[in-house]
Amino acid sequence: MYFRLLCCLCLVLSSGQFTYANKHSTRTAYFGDTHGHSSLSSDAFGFGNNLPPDNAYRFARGDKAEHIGGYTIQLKVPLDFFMMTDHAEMIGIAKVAMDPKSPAYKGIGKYLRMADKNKGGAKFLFALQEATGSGVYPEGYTPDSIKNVWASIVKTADKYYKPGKFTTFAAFEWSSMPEGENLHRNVIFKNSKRVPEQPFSAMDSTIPEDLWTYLEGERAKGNDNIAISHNGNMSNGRMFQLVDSYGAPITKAYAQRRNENEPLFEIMQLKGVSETHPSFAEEDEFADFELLPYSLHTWQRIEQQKTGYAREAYKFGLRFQQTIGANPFKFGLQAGGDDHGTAHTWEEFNYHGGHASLDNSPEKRLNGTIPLPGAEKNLNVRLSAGGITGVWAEENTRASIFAAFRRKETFASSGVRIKPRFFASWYFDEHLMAQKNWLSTAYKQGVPMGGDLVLNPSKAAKNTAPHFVVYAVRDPNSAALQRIQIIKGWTKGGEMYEHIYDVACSDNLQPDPETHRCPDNGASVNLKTCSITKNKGNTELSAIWRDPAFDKKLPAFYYVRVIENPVCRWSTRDANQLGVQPLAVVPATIQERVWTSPIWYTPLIHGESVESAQASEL
Amino acid sequence: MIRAFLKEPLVHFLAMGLLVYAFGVATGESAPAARHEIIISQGKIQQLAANYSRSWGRSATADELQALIDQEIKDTIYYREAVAMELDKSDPVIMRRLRQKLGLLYDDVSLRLKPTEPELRRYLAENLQRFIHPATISFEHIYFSPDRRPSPLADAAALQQRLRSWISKSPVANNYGDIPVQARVIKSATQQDLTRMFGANFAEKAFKQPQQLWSAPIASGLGVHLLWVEEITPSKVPAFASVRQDIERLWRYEQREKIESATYKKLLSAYHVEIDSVSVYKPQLTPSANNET
Repeated sequence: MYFRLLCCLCLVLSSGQFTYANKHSTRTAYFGDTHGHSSLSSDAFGFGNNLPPDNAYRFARGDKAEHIGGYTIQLKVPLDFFMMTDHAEMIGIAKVAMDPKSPAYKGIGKYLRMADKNKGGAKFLFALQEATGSGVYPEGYTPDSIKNVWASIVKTADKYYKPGKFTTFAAFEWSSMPEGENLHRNVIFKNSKRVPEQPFSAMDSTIPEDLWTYLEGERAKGNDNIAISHNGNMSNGRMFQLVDSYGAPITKAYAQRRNENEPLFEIMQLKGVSETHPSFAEEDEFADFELLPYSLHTWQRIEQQKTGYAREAYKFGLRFQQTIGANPFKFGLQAGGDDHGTAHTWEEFNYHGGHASLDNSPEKRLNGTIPLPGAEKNLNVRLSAGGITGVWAEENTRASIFAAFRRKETFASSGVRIKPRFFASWYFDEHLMAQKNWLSTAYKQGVPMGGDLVLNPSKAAKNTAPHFVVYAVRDPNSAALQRIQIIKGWTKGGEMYEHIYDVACSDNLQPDPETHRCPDNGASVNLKTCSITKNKGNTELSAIWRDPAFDKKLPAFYYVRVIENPVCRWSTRDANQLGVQPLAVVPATIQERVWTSPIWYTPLIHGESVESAQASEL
Repeated sequence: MIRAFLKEPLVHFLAMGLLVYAFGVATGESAPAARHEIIISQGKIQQLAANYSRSWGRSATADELQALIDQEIKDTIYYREAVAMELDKSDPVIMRRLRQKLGLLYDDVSLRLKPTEPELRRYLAENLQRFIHPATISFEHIYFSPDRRPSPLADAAALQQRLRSWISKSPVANNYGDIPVQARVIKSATQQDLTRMFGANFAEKAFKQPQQLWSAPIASGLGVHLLWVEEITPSKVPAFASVRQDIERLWRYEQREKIESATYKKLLSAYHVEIDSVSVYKPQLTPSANNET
């Protein structure tokens, strides 16, 4: 009954797509951030952030904004959509504690009025920590406080929603971290009018399956929603563990629930990239990118587990596909800021820290660290400028962008506005891209990123591999494009494999037929001035590609990585500003990039495709 | 501004009304004489019947209507008994609901205000930056792709030499250059739009080009361009009539906040507030409101 209902929902969603597809068949790229914190998050408040969510919305839509550091910041290019995801655990407690009308004013609020601000602040945070540990709210903070704060969050999101121009969502972060291992999820509601009375917090439950039950309950009431997990890199391998939360084997039902509730994964943010790790991606020269292999709890280095990273999860997912007939890790990709200072600046040339007063000046960013006993020195400099999410949608509205989330027609960006296209089909013509309207043909004949390519028996009988089409335009405010890669993963006999193909090289270069890599295009960066080589790299790159090792019997995934020429990392700009050498613990330059959601290829299993097997269960 | 407002008779009336109302709530006074009398009027019955048919899509039968009336009586009795037992006191849900209802009164008052035209014009003048239309540009461009030619800048300069004498752009743009990444014809774009599409340098330079003429080559984040600027519309204050509704909406919203805070100030002054253990606390008049939209 339960799953029947969910499946009805997804049918409704996919039929909705078709009407849209007719209206605006080739879709537009919209960029946004799905992850940010204001003073309503108790940790952000602890970092000295006293700003309400309003400031973040105004900043994201392009207004000049006050930064915690006492200066004004502004984005070069505004975002198209935005949401605040304050931590649900004792959400808004600082605001409540400072409100004389609230009973918490006399309770935990007394610490905030102590003459010694530092001592008071410490006592306040200590009380919060105790409350989190014991599960008992601090004195005066009641379920009503939560409801009021949540109502104000929803109202603020509505206030800044301007359909067609700037889209906002009601959202929060569920911040579960059992044994200090990060399992955080951002929860987004499609419709602000039908949100629940209060968010679901890790004090309600730390188990993802319980969060899903909450989300499913809300969907049954007619309000679609999703949860986006993030920071697998800080989960000690728990994010994509190969059993359920109770240690039982993963079942078809678990896989279905996970995909229904968590169609997307945040692959990059302030606290690092969770695509893959060099210790298990030996073939990938671009894997060492903005990594942060630390524990979120202790901020000490932890050994990296495959089950904390998206690319490995995709492979495990395929293996599950073969063993249990369902893939629990069939998620699309997106990225976020996770800023805790109410105004994030994803741009590498415009980064002002992500932890409010902990890193709001170049000195603090280069020399400071996370203030925890035992934490390494210079952790601040390891933080990345965060990422943004791209969606291919018909229009800049809640309905249209949320539908893109649902169908996973999304891509993650390290902060730049590269626009990548990616399609697969058995029917594409070799010269598709010479057509003037190749995009509408691609939509008609193929599946876009996030989609499924199922076996076409007549084509496969002739041993023909499907075509993939990729196309990207550079960000006019960042560097030119260097290469497009297609990353393939597959499993065979229980073993898991990956291979990376450069399919388009800049400057008329060709990939090496042996290594499948583009030759060096000679682009470089002047580290003193941060100027970059002119006339290197491309404005556009494209390719139509067939997998030379395609095996129709093996399930596989393919996703695209578009990589720019190098630019100065934010830390190099900070070092230049202070007139010091860039720190050696991080690279002086980075190659910004976007990652698309995969396209999955699913072969026949026992004479029928997995999709038709699932359909027949209905 | 607030001071001027308090002179408005309507506001005075509201404030007085609220004071009485708030006093009643605070002291729990009600009219005890009517406590044991319930009148179900003809109007009430019609309302119950109408609610029923809205929910069920048909009229209530006589039995059903009787049941609705019985329920109404029961609800009323329970409600009165509960109030008599003071069960409503210090109930946060009831407090919140009543505060909400009070808020509706403010909405109501602000909706009745009829601002004069000079008042709205003054408001526009004081909040100009919220209404101003940024400058826009409309142009057609010939694009030279760095991907498709070794020296796009030289090619663009050479073409511009040839086009300089032309007084009409019409047939040219379609025959030269490469297929542009962005549209060939850009209409009414702001500088921010151009920054998004072509990069910041181009956006700045475009607005400095002569109109109705092929420009010198301009480099963008995508390549090199020759521009035929059709029109540049400078930033301007919109005509009063065209934004009158927007101004009125914002003005009304501001007035509502002012009425609320002025009224609260009045109400508060009638109270003696004591707070345990915090000797220096002064009640805040405007609890952290964010008025800007």
